[in-house]
Amino acid sequence: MHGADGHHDTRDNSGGLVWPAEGFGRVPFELFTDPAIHVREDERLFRGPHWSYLGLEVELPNPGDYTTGYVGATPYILVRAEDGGLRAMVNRCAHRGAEVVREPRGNARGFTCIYHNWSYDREGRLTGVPWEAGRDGVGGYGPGFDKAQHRLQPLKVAAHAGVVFGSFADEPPPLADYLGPAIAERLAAVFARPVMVTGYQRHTIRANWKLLYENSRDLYHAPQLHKFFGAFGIVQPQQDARAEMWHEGTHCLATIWQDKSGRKKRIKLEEPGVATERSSLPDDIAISIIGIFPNCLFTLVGSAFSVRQFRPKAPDRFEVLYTYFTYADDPACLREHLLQNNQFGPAGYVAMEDAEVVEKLQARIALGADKGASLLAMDGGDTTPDRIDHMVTEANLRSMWRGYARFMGFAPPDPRADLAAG
Amino acid sequence: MFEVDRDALFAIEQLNKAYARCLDDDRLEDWPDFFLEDGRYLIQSRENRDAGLYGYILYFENKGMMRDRVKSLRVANYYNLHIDRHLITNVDIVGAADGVLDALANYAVIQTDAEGRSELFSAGEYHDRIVFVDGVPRFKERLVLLDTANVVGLLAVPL
Ligand SMILES: [Fe+2]
Repeated sequence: MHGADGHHDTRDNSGGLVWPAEGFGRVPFELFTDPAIHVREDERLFRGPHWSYLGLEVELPNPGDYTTGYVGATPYILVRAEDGGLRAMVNRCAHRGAEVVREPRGNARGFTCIYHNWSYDREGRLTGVPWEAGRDGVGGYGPGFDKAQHRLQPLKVAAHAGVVFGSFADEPPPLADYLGPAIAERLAAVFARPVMVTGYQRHTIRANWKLLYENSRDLYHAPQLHKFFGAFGIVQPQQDARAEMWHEGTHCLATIWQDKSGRKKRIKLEEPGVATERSSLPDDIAISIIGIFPNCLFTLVGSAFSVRQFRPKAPDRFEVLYTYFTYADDPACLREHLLQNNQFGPAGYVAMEDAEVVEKLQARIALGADKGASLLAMDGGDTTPDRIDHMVTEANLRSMWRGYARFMGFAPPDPRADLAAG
Repeated sequence: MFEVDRDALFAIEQLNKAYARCLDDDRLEDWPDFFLEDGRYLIQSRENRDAGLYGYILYFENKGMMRDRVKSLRVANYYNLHIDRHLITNVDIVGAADGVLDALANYAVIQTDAEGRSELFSAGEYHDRIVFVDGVPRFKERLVLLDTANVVGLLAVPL
């Protein structure tokens, strides 16, 4: 079908999308607005052959400790079992689909659905059904009813360096392979010391989740948008930077090492501790941003450590749960952590602008721009490298879209059409 | 039972009115002066406090940090165009020791955007520690305890 404006209908028969002929330097706006894409992401990404972030092991020290969250649209319970291992299961009763756990976190011997009091153990096995065998000789489920056939739907669970992931796939890849060696090593280095959770923060952003996931690896925007640094003489290290992409380009390990040029910072804040030079990160790293597709984002800056779980709610709305953490073995770290966290979260000197930008962007593309596309042509046009050693680039964003398109089952851009497009 | 000093309560009610008007009139430069020089301004969700966690959305240890905030909002930060409307009620003094009064108040902030749409932005409680300096009440600490733990959009201007 051809529109009056000469654009092709970008859908193929499978309900997918044919990427613009210009390549991954173009990202169709409809990826951020189309309800069918949102549904497809839930099936193919969040319930597909990927690992999603569920929590940190340190949140669940004892048997029965649990947390709850979302993988895509699906609510889950993460619980420490009797044997010390972790289990994850869908927070949806096997009976009618009601909510089983309603507290965000706690400790429980088991879980009971409020609707008809079906009860489950910490493994998610159905252990109690009121009136299962009838009452006063009538009704009940009858002898053919097998509780073993009605458990809370389990997720596969795996942890690396104390970071817990879950997957709906029957046979997900080994977690270490999924993360890739660079991210696995970085997480191991960061979590080599004991950490403690310092708090949680919930944030609703009225935009498509991918806009913020993309923003988190966008090294081009940081000095342009975030004027806090320049206004207060905070020289951000940017000489020695690297972005490494894994999992078909969708993970991004961004690293900025400490500035060794000898430039003196003259921080013009009355309380310079908000943007202090000292970093608690290993190996002279000043900043490490780790995006682990599809729902996890570590922001490790100085002593301000957080991990975010992305929770898509609609094409134009998602929530984020921040989990803040710091090193438990260094009391000085805690104050630095609290001061520096003023840069992040929904009120952060830096992060507030990312929320504002993606919300206003979403509002511009919501209607009337559905055949438009985002332009990501800096540093190589349409190349999608797996490593970049500078910040003057959009290539790591293109790499993300390359993997995204593949995992979503979209036809890749046609290289011949790309040449013809000029 | 703790007996409320009527004059102190009246002074604290006036303090809250002036605080609300200052922020709602966008006189941000005057906002730090409601605090002592070593006064603290903290925003924390009830969820974090009840769990014994920190989790501050903003953590300002002194008035200098508040002046930094105002300067940054004025010259550096890009945030939503809006008007705030603070509704502060149920002001009360609940304790006193060593010249510091413990006070509480409920608040709601209605935000109106650049196209005139108003929404409830935040609801919660102020937990205040107040000292009288030359007869004028000042915050030794204002903890904004959020019921609205899930911030929609962003939180730029102080609550
Ligand atoms: Fe940013």
